[in-house]
Amino acid sequence: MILTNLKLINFRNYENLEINFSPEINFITGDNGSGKTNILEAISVISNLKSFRNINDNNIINWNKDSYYCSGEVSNSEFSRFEVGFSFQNNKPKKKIKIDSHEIKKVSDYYGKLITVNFIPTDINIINGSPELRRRYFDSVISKLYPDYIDELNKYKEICYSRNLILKKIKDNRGDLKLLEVWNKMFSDKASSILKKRKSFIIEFNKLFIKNYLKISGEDNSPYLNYITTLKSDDPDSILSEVNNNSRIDVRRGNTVYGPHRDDYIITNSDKIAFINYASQGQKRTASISLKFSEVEIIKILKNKKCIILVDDIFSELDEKRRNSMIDLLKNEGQIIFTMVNHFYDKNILSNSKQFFVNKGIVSDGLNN
Amino acid sequence: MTTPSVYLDRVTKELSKLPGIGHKSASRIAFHLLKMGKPDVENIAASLIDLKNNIRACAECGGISDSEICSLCSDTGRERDVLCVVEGARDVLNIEASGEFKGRYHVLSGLISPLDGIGPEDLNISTLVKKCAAGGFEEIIMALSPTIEGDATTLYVASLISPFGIKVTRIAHGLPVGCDLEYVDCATIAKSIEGRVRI
Repeated sequence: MILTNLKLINFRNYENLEINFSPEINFITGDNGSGKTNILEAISVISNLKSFRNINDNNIINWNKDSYYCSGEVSNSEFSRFEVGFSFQNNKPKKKIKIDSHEIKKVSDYYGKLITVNFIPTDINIINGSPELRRRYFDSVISKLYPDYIDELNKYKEICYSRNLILKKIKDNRGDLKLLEVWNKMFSDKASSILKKRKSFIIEFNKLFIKNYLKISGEDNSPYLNYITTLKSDDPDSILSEVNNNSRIDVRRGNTVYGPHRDDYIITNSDKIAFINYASQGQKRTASISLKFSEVEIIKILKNKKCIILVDDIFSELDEKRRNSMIDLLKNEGQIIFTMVNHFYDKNILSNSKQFFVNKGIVSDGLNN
Repeated sequence: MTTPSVYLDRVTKELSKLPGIGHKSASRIAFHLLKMGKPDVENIAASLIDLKNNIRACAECGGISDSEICSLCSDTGRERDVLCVVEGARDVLNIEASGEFKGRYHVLSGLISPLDGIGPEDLNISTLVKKCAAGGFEEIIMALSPTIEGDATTLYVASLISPFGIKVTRIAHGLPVGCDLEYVDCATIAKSIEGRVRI
């Protein structure tokens, strides 16, 4: 999959921008705050309908404007044109998404068709941060591979939310126990299918993660991912009896205490010692980069597609040797778009790349090649 | 904006409250009404008032009716041991149009939805349970939409009825008739494979 052209209107500091990318390597350089990352953010919005900065769409809009628009032309793909528009209509946010000029109503019909993988500085939070960040990360990867998974997650969330409302009512002695039984059954069926998907995914993903960690770190042993579930089984009937047994705790807390929404992915070594307890900062960085490499690879294996790789300023932490080896590893995996503060000098890599310079919302390209 | 007639404005405003009718369509209908003959417009007005004054909920099934008991419930030719449970009165019309069902109906007037604050007590469920307790039914067919709310309501009603020893069934999930498999979403295909039948 190759992003050939990107158009932005009122997207962050770009009032009107059009860029043509090289099918191989692209470098976007510029000073801090000039708007390098905004370009990657726009590509990620077209791909995932969400910013990797994890913020609302209204923050993405250029100051004093009431809408943004971005579109990408893609080659080597089933579909060739992706468009995302966002505006406020009567103070209500509205997002319009199109593939090849046809409006798409369901997110799951859009998601997973233009696939990007981001390497961003905050990736280390997947290793260091809260379980929620890990669930969110792995859910996003599974959704890229299986778009129906988004629908399942949304239904699961809705069921949990409804069930919690019923639990709270029962806690206040206004609830209907029969109704809780119904929601326990609905919960068990959905939880089961989510658990099964996550478990089979993590088995495949782990193989790639271990391979990549060994390759990048040069260490002799690799840690691996463990999917830690709060429910004992993934069979719907066993879950149902477990949930029925736990109902008393749930009622007391007015909340669904066990389930896929409370699970975690923990990295350990072979002695089951948690990675974050012994790993150095460099090892954590290596693990987070290995996760992203594995994401690139699993997409290639399961979807038979090369994704678009977005790399945001992670070079500032790496020495030149590591920088070059990372570019070497990535360059055969798909089109790459890098942002960085300094210009890039390696002549071998520059020969088939395109450079862009960003200054105060103006992008100029390819002058120094 | 100055308009030539407050009466026209009023009709436009009232009509645009209807589903699927925006300001433009409402204005078009208002102008059309203006052009129509007076008896025709009076007929429309009277029919609307009659609709509101004369239709009530059937005491038996909860569907719409012109009298105490609706024509479907009082029809002695219909099978009396099968009951089809639906969400709204419009579903009755749809199922009747298929001609496939010869039993009687029960209209719940909604679905259980905690997110909208709708519980079983807000629906026409207690009369259904009373009917089932009184006996005489072989089968209850649950014909609700395959959504989270529909599924939850189906399970809830089934749990109340099954103690009476009545068979509770649910309409099939799967492919629409005459559709092209190519255009069907994965969740529907998965359901239809799950519910496949022997030929």
